[in-house]
Amino acid sequence: MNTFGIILIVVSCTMCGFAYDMNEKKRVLQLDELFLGFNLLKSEIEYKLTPLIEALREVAIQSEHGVDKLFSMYAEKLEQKDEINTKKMWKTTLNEVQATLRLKDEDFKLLESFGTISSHFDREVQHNNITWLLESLKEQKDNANDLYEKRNKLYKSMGILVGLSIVILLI
Amino acid sequence: MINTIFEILPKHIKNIMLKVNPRIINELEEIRIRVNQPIILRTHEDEFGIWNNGICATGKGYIATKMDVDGILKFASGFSMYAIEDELRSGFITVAGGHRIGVVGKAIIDNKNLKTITNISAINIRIAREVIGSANKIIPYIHKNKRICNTLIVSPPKCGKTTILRDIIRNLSNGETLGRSFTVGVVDERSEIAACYMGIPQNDLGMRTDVLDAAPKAEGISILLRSMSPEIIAVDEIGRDEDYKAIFDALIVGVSIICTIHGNNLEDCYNKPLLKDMLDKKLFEKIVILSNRPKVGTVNSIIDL
Repeated sequence: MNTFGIILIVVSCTMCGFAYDMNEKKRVLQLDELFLGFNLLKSEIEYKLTPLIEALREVAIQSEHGVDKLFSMYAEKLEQKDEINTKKMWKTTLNEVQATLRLKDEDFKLLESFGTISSHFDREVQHNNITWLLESLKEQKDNANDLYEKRNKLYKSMGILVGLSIVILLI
Repeated sequence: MINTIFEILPKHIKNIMLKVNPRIINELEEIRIRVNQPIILRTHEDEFGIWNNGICATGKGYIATKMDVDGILKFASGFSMYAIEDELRSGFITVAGGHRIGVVGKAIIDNKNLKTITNISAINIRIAREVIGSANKIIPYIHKNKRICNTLIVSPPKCGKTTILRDIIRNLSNGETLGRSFTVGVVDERSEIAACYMGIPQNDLGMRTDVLDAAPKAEGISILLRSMSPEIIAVDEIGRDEDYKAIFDALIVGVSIICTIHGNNLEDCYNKPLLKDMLDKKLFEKIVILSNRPKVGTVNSIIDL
């Protein structure tokens, strides 16, 4: 019975470590996808002058890791034409997808700035706005990636170590 | 077609419009929306305001707000103001269905050129209608020796010249009246003829029609000549010097041209130096003069040159 308990503690702590690691990995992947998605959106907007709803749909098709849902839900909201304020609609969309993404609060804060993209600005301001977002996203994703590279082994081994420590303490 | 207009109106205005008598909606020519002024619906003969239960006296109608105007522009552009910046510079945008939204506001000047219009304070939604069959009676007059004559359609604004041109294109492309069809190339600079959305015509222009959307007429005509080998080229509202030169190039290579121009009569055409030169050289063979009396699209006369 004791052996079974020990195994259970070690296995569950190890799995917690792996789950935490997976969570961090997903954040990195999602930030990567967001960066690629906004880059694609920038091209659609600046070079093809694709209307925002179609551009968002196109980006949604080409994105994955849950980021596609963010773009497609925003496109859907815009298409419904229930609201004029794009900033508000974008924020609502972010709130709705928050649970499905593994992003941190600071990431969502950064994404909020995209809401002003379709306001009454000329092309130059649009360009500056989306370029700033892309630069900030790149910085964020690089930082997240560096941090993950440094700590991913730690997250995994930490689970086993914590499990073993608990077992030793109990024994 | 009018439904596409309703789609760009804010919900509360759309709900009122849905209560307006369908007869008035069918006759609607313009919807004028000015910030802090009543919304005005204009038909050919009358005008109305709108209120909760439909129409009312013009001065007592729903007062439009800045938010309403901004909302219409956002909906009309698909929340993509960047995509209509160039169109906005010419004072209007064309939306799905070919309807034209004219705008005024504060002009921003950069290097003595109009950069854009901001703080838009008034918009005029001009309803476009496809009138299938409106050109049926004109077609036999512009056909001679198994070819289509170079034709100039002359009319003042709001007399249906784009509608007639659209139906001529459709008719010739499908070969409806003459029993013989033609390959038609259309340079649709203002997206009014074909009402293209993402490059695909929303209006019926026939099965043998190629549309070059949003291209300047002069460049568009050369592109069509080089790429699509049309038998007929159709363009709307010529007026600039380069338009005449491009039409001249097309005429001398043997392509038939059908185009429209603003004017009341033949004299107005002779007052435009380059056009006068073309008329004197008999490059145009038929002039169709339109008026809106007794109704829009009435053919006043068809002149042989």
